[in-house]
Amino acid sequence: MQIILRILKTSWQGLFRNGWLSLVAIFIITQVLLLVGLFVSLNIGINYAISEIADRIDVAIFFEDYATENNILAFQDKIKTTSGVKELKYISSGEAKERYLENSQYNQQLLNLVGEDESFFPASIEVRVTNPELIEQVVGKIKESDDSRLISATSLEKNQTIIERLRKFNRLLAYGNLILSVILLIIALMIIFNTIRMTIFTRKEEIEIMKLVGATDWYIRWPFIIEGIFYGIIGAIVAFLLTIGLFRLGIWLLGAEYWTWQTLSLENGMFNWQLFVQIFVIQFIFGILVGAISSYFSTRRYLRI
Amino acid sequence: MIQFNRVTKHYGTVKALDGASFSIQPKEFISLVGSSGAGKSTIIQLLTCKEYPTFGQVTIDGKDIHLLKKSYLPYYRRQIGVVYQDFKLLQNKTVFENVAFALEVTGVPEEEIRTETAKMLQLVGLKSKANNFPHELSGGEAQRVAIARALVLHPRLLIADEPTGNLDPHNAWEITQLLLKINRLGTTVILATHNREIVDAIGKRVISMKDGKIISDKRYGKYCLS
Repeated sequence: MQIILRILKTSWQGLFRNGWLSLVAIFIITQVLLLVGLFVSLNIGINYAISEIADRIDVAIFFEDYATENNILAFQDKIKTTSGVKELKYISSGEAKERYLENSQYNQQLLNLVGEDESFFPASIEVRVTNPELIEQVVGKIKESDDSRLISATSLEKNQTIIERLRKFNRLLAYGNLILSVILLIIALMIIFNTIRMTIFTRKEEIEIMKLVGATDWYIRWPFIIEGIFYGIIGAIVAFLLTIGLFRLGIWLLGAEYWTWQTLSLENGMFNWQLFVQIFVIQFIFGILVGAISSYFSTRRYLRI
Repeated sequence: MIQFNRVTKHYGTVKALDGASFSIQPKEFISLVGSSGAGKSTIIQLLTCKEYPTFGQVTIDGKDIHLLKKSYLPYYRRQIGVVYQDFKLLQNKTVFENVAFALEVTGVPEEEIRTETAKMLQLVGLKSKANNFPHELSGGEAQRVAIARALVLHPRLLIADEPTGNLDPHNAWEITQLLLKINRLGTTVILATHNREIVDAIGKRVISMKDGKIISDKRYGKYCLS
């Protein structure tokens, strides 16, 4: 207990008697954590975009004219359990027409051509899959099922190139994101590690003297580790406040009518308080862990006497 | 108490110490003399376990100190006090804290630290400067703080590595007197120096070294190097 109190006291003294250096260290760590925070938001945005794109990839299965609505619904029930199917949606001829009219409402010529003829639009089932990469397999399985004679065509053949392109884009996003994450993480680690090493380097004589007086390695090390953790905590708090400030500023700059906090958070459910808490937790844990580990490794080389 | 048994230390191809053998009895005062590079510092670094011998053994009370477990080293080091030419005080701690610090690392209760530290500062005559920082002290005063710090754990052995190297003759003599006083109080002292006047004035055992070898070991010796 005595020892723990002393270690805490030493950490506290170290922090304040090295005033400027501590301030610089906190400043640098704040910046890095801010970067981490912005990066995490970017990451979440990209993942959101990826899942949005994946959701857009679907296949319509069209049916022969003679298939009744009951036939199709029965078929839908049957293929519901096919593995890889995420969602099935029945679109009747009427609904298909309505959709078409809505999408082409400004093209009067087309509207005239279609007129009131529902039979122009075949009924279909829209298939969404859990993994866009598996779309061919899923459609293949559906085509092999019992009542497949009802199927006249699928949109897969027609949309193959678009699907392929979307998938490629998604893969690019995911890989790019991963590579960027790794690079940024390494940079963040290096910067914090070097900053803490610098603060410890200036006190290597102190470590040496403690060692000569007969202090145990852990007695010497703990104050530095606690100091490192403390840098991490302060850095995380400041970075968190700055992150919120930056988002607020961004929203204010972009114009309140269009990009209000509410529309941002309501429209896509991404930019809400939960996200900010998440970012804070990530910054906090990152700061503490990196601070402590950096201190541990930085003191180690001076303890080898 | 301390036994050097044909100890040799190589740094690469340089022989810093070449088959040195000698023993030290409890409560002895030994002057270790020789010019720079003669091997004095190597002997001290071997004694503090900062370095390990290439050949031979260094034993204290019959135990080879270089076979001690790494984790036991801090406890071993608490039994020997060391004073350096450059004092090695912590600049951001006061005189009192510098001395108390040696006790703090051992987990002694706060009350005892206060009384022991005060006692040591009294012994070295620095009670009035307890709250000053090292940069406010003269060289002689700083060295006395270092001695107080080395003694506060009541070591059996006090090693002084050129303690007067940075001091003027007057202060050097005062420090020497202090070391003799500490020796009278019962602590074994090893004084490494190349200061002829001091060694001659002390008039106790002198071990002379040259090029890593012990060239003379006299009970009441004088500085005999040219």
